[in-house]
Amino acid sequence: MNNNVKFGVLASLIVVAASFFASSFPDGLEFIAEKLGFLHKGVSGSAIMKDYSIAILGNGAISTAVAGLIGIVVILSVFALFTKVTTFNNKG
Amino acid sequence: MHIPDGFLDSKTAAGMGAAAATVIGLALSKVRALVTELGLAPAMAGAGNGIKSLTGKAQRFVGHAGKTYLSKMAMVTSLVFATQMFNFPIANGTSGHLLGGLFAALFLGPWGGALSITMVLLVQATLYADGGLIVLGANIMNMAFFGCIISYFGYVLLKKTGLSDKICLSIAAWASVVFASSACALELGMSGTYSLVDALSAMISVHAVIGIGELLITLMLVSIMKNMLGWEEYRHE
Repeated sequence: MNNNVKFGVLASLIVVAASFFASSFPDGLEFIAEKLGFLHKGVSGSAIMKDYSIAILGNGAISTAVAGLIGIVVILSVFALFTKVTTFNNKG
Repeated sequence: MHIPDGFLDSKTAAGMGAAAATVIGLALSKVRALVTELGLAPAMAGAGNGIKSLTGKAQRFVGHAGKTYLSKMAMVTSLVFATQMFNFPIANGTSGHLLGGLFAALFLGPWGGALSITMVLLVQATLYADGGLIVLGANIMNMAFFGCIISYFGYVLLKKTGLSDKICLSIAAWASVVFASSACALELGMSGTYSLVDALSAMISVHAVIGIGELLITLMLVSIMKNMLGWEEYRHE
């Protein structure tokens, strides 16, 4: 198997596994913010895939998996585009 | 450990923003030197394959090695992003997730690693509202500067003691989370959100446990990358 394919499978597997099995407990900082009583100061912003879910797919694991996979595609595309632009005159 | 907007005051957020901009600028110039080489650039667009620049003027261009590095960076960045989604439970109804600073630096070097983590934070803040946009600089300082650059130099120093690579990696991965969380506590203290001493002790005690998860996941990911993709560690010169 080609390395890129292996890598794609690995990254996707991690996202899908995370979507189904990740803990929903608050993370370290959030836990402390609650314990020390400054959690209410947090302002949660808005974003198209807020809380790792896609509005039309609800809040379930599948929604999170799709949101995560989109993130991977976005990151890989940005790098691909950057590489393309910086090597446009270079066939090496 | 992604700080949301509102936790830090505007002075601290702005200061961290300026510090982060400096670090990113430095990292960009280091990585630019790494991915480009000086020489006769290959044929200009349209001039055909393999024909060297007709002007004969040496210039910096992204060659084969640079392209390989960039594709590695793309993979590390998306892998860290994916793995950060995987929160693992620790005691008291708390969870933690990989930060990945040391993992990224291990294969990309400290500067490329920091850019990779910065990219993850940028995507998380803009697409998922995970980590605030106003405090993005603080999050970059915590996770890309302290959690990646500083931790990587700590790893390099540790290796000089003659301890085995795995032991050094384990200590540095654990410490990277403790460094990042201490920096976070420092910012909370500077902002007057909570008393510095109490924030520090609370952050460190919880993240000392989360760091064990960082250690285990880092060892696992490093072994997967080495054995599955045949990657080698970045050589620090």
